[in-house]
Amino acid sequence: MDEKLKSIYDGIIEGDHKAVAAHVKAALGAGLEPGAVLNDAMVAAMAEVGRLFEEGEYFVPEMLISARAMKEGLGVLRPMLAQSDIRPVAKVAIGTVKGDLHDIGKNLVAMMLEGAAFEILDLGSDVSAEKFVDAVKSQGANIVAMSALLTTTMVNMKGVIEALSTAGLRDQVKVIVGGAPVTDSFARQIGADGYAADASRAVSLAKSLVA
Amino acid sequence: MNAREIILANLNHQQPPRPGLTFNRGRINDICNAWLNPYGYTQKRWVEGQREYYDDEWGNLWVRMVDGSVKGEIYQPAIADWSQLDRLQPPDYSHPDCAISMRALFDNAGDTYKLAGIGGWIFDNARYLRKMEIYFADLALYPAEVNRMHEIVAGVYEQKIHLAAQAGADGIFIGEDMGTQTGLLFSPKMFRGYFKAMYTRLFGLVHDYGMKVFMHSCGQNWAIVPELLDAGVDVFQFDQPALYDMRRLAAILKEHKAALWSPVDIQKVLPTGDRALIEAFAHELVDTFEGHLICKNYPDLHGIGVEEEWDDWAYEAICARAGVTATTID
Repeated sequence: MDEKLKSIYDGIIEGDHKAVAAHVKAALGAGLEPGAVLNDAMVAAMAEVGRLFEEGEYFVPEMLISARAMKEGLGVLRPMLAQSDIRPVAKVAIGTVKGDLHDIGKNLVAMMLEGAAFEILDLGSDVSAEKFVDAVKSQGANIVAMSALLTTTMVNMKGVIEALSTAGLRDQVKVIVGGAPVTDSFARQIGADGYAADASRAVSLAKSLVA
Repeated sequence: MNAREIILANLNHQQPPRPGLTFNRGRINDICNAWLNPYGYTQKRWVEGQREYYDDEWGNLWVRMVDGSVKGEIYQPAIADWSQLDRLQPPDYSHPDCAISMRALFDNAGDTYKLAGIGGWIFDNARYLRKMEIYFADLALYPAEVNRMHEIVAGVYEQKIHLAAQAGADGIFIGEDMGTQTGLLFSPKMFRGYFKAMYTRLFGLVHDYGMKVFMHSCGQNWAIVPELLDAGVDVFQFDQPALYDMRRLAAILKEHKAALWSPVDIQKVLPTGDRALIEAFAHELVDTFEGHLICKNYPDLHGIGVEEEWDDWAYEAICARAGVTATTID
C-alpha cells in the first residue's frame, strides 16, 4: 500500500481523527486519486475495524473513534468525490421506528455504513412509516434500515414494510432490521430482507444485499 | 426460616429451603426495597405532544414517549462540553433527610430482607452525563476527564452507602448496563483501567458495614463476571439469564459464594407468551441455581410487551418447582 494511504488506514484503525484529516489532505495534495483514498485506505480500514469488532478485539469505544476518524477524513474527501464519478455504494434511509427514542444502535450502524461508503439519510428516532416511505420515494433510498430497542416498538417494523408495499415500492428497496429485541426469525416473519446483530454485521449485510 | 433468613441462606449458600422470591402484585416478596432521595431536589416533568420530558438529580434532561417505556433517552446531557465538568453540581446525599423514606420503610419491613436501592452506579451515571455515544468515544479519547467525572460520581455513591448502612440496610442494589446481547460494551481491559479499582474500594466499604452488594447489568457480561466477583459483587441481578451458559454461571457463582437474582428471561422467553417455554425455563432456573437463587418478576411488563398472565405463569412455575404455594394477596 502506498505510504500516504497507509497513514490514513492506520489513523482510522487507531481512531486518530485529526491525523486522518491531515493525511487525507496530504494524499490528495500528492495527487492520489480520491477513489483510491476512499476505497484502498478508508473503506479498507473500516472493514478491518469491523473485523476486529466481530473478533472481540474492538468494542464500541474503539469502533466509535474509528468511525469518527473516518468521518473526518470523508469531510476532507467529499468535495473531491463529488467532482469525480465515484458514487456511494447505495443510499440508506436509517431510523429508529415509531414510538422508540433509543438511537445509539442506529447511530453506530449509520456510522459504520458511512465508513463503508454508503450514503446515509438519517431519519432520527420515532420515525413514522410515512417518513421511511418518503425516503425511498422522494430521496431515492435503496435500503431501509430500521432499529428498535423495545419489544413494544419493534412491531412497527412490519408496518413500515407494509407501507412500502402499499406504496408500490417494496420491490425497489431492501429492508434490514436490528436492535436488542429483534431476531433473525422476527425479521423473516415480518418480511424483512435481513437482520444484523450489530453494526459491523449490518455493513456486511447491506453490502451483500446490493451486490 | 423467615423471609430475611431465606434470602441470607441463599446468599451464603447455607442450604436454603427454597429460593428467595421477590414478586410484586401481592405475590410472595422476601425483600423490602427502599430508595434514597437527594437533598433539596424536586424533579421537573412536563409533556409536549407525545413526549414527556424530565430532569434528573444530576442535571440531565431526558425524554420518553408518553405511552412508551418508563425509561427514556437523554435529551440534553449535563456535561455537553468538558468545560462544564468543573461546574457540575452532583446531587447531595450527605444529609440524613435523604434516608427518611428508607428508614420508615425499613422500620416496617418486618422479617423481610432490607435492600437499599442506590440508583445506578458509576458507568450508568457517567454515560448519561455525557450522552452515551459521546461517552463511549470519551473512554477512548479523554481518560483524564473521564476519571475525574467517575470520581465525582463515586463520591456520591459513597455518600449513599453510608446512608444505606445508617438506615439499617442489609444490602445495596446498584444498576449498571454493561452488556449487549453478544458481549460487553467496552473491553475487559477498559473495565480494569477505569472501573475495577473503584468498584473494589466501594464494595469493600459496603462489606465493612456488613452489607451485601447486589448488582444489576443487562446484556451479556460473562467476560468480566470473574473480575466483578473479585471486586466484591455478592449477587448478580440479570434480567437475561438465557444469554449465559447458565450451568457455567451457576458454577462460578457457587465457587465465589455468590447468588443470582433473576426473572424468567425477559428477552428470549417471557415475551414469547409461550406457556410451556416459560414454565420450562422457570424450572431450569430453579434447578440450575438451586441453593443460591432469588427469583423475581420484571417490573415494567408493558415495556417488554408481556401480559400479566404470562408473568403469573412464570411465578406459579417457580413456586411449584420450589415447593411453595404460589400465594397472592388481594
